Amino acid sequence: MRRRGSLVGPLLVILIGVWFLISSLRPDLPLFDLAARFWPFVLIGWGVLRLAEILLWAAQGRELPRAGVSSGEWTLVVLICMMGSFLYVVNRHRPWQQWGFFTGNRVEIFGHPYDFAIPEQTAPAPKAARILVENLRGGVHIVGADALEIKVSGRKTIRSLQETDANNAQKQTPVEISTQGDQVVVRTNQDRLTGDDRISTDLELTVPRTASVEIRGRKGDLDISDLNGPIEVSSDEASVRLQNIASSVHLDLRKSELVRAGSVKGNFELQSGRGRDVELDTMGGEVTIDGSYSGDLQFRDCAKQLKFQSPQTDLKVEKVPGQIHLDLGSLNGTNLVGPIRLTSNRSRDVQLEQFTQILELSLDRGDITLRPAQTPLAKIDAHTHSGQIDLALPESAKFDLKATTNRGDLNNEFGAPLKTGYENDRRHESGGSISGGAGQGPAITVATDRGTVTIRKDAGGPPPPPRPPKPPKAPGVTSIEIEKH
Amino acid sequence: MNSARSLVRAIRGPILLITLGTLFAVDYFGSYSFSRTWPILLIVAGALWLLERIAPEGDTGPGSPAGGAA
Repeated sequence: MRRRGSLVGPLLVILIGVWFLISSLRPDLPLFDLAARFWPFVLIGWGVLRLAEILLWAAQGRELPRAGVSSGEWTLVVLICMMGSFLYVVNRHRPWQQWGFFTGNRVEIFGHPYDFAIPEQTAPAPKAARILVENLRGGVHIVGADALEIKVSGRKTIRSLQETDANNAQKQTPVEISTQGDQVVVRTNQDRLTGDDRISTDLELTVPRTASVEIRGRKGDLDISDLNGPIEVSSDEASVRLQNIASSVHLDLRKSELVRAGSVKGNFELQSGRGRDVELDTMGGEVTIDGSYSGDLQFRDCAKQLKFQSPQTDLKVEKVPGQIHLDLGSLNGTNLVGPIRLTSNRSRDVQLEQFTQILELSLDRGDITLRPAQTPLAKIDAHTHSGQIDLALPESAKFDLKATTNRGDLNNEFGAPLKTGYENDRRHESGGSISGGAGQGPAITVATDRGTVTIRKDAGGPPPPPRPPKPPKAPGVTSIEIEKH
Repeated sequence: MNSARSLVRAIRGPILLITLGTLFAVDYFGSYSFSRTWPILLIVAGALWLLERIAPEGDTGPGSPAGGAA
């Protein structure tokens, strides 16, 4: 017996035709509403018919199809599900302006967000309180105050299809403060709810200024200010803002859009699996940054050692009285105290100005622009495999220079006493070096395998036009802030 | 004749379809949202797969194409 196609396809087409016919003949019937609510029964009906059909065929001993529902039909099913869910949400939440797909940073296609205010709670807290905040989803805002109590308030958002469901979820997830000796635990109890991705709690905390704070979460932005105790944060995904912290800070983030810290007096440690922007200003302790960052990094006014380590770049600077700006393609530093050590195995243009002490710089690809400016000079050892080198030296400084290119031009704009020597007459193919110096001074070695080497005099005026153009920096406004707003 | 295995394979799609529709219907008219009940789909799919594995090949001999000839 020959294989016969299914009857369900034609039936579906008839059903859709009938639906459109009725909707045009009787526009008063709530067909849109019916479709939005009852579309799952189309799937059920389809499945039942197909099942009956196949069982009948099997009973008759006919050849069975390899798959009861073909891949093309599954595509149709997925489309129906998407259309149906869309209709359902749209239909349920009129007026239209209420269904924003994006509220905050959560995608809310299913259900409706219900907001609940968290009434303010207060509990006494000792001076040396250790405060632990456990909030899986949602932001935490902490402010230190001169009071021996902890105050918690905030807002809870529960995404649900029905209000009663949301109310139940709200009752299941009370925000609690529990005190045990020095330890104060603030819990949002989101884990009591199955499917805790439906709930997000934003907390506002006021804590004793002297307290130490630990925050554990999965997703939510953190804002902490005016604290004297150490801070510890671990989260899967968080942007963190810190302001005016007298002690150490340790951030362990798997993913972060922005980490911004200002006036942190203790050591600052940041570990981020996938980060984007980092902005540090007025740091009193050692700064250690580890991870991979795709955005802009800005370090300003760091009083102690700065260590930055990513899979591509390794940077160590003793102090940063000025600033360092770093993105995927460049590194610009102004007013730095060495020893400075920088290695990068990806393409990166480096420009350093007004730095002191020893510089060790090693690039795989990228241009190097150096302007040490201050005398006396210290030892410089900089090389790149492919890129131009532009070095400006103070006229009065003592040094012993050797600037080499294996293939490229040599520009001696410094003049005497430096000597330019090419390996042979065919200049571009062979390269050569500029060497010499005035008096006994530190060794300055710059080298490129391929690229032009320029040595110029630093007159002490405004910086020479750098080859990689510096990003525009308006005072107080960084490129990050422009992007964000 | 058809083997039991090809029968299980043929009804897998319709049964999954019914389950999917039921879960959505329960979401809309019952008390469990789809975001909570979706693992049932996996369980049903896994059970059907298991059934297919343990179903006897039936009349079709080893090596002959699955589905068999009528």
